[in-house]
Amino acid sequence: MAKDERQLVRRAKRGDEKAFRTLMERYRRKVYSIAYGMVHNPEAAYDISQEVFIKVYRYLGSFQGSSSFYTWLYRISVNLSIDWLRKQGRHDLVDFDDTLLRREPDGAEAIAVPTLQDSDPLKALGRKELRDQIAKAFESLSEKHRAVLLLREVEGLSYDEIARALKIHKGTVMSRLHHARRNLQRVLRGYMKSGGKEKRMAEK
Amino acid sequence: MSKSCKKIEHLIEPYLDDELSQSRKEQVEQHLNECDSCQMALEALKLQGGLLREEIEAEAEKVDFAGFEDRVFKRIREERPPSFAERAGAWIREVAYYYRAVWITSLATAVLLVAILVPLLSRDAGPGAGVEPETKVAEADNQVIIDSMDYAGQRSMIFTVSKNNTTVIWLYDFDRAEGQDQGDDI
Repeated sequence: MAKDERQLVRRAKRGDEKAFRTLMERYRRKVYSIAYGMVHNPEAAYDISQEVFIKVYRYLGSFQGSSSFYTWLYRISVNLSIDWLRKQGRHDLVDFDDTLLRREPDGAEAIAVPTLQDSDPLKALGRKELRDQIAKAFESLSEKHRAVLLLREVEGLSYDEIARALKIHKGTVMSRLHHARRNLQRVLRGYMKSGGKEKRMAEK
Repeated sequence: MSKSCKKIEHLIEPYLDDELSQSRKEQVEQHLNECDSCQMALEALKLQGGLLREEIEAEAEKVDFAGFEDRVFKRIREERPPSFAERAGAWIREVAYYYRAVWITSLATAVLLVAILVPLLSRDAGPGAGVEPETKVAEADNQVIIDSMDYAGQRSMIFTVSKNNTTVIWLYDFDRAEGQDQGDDI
């Protein structure tokens, strides 16, 4: 797989359009997932995906084979998505500082989800409803936290790969991931409490 | 939260992400077998990660990618290709990042070499330097100069003492010296 991919990249570098087409077919949905995760707009995500491959095609010559093709591809996907958000004026006004948030009063480092013990959230809410809530919470995260979480949870990259893709330190990957997950849990926890109550009230 | 939970909590995410060494992994697994609340925290993380993946993948599945590649090629032909400067800039950025281990090491080596060689060379060239205690002469006008040069493929050292106008030229040859060291000189 990896060898076959290197060959495809080499052929595409030499201007082989068929090889480049194969690479696009292989990665278009993954690129779209990143773009969609970053911008939450299907049309924009589709357009960004096209732009990503245009850029890849044009700059393939500068791609260094020492890293995986996909870490490079995902970096371009994240960057173009952020560019789009900036153009929309939707950049993060407050740059989240991971260290600050850790010092919150309730901020024990633990990932505590006691609500899961009390009730089965899947039964109370339904998986789709819960998924929507996670999506909403995810949307409220900052760009850089979304990017790290997407590359980890959706694309399955390792910490090292994420570090290379985003040109950040591995420690930064870990702290952003931790921060992003904690924030999702906070929203989810709040929702599960109130959501569960509403459900029970409605049933009465 | 128990003491053992505190020890393990920062490992739960790396455990979930399969980033732990075998021994650490076993350590976490052992704790998880005994601790319901950490097991629950792990399950919650798994659940939210799974839900996020499902959500994004479901959105991506909705998209019809028919004609996607053709549209990309069409745009590639229509739009202005990047200038040489833009491509070169991208290349430099990539090289600077991916080969940072190489160039940072080279740079560090160069700095180190300069730091070692400059004092060494300046000491060799300086008057009175490198003189054995027995050859040291008290008078100021007595200068000992040690110099070196390459001559006819051989390296030579020139040793000049100004008082008695003595000059010793010492020719030596690296290859032969090495051979002698190894006792190969037949």
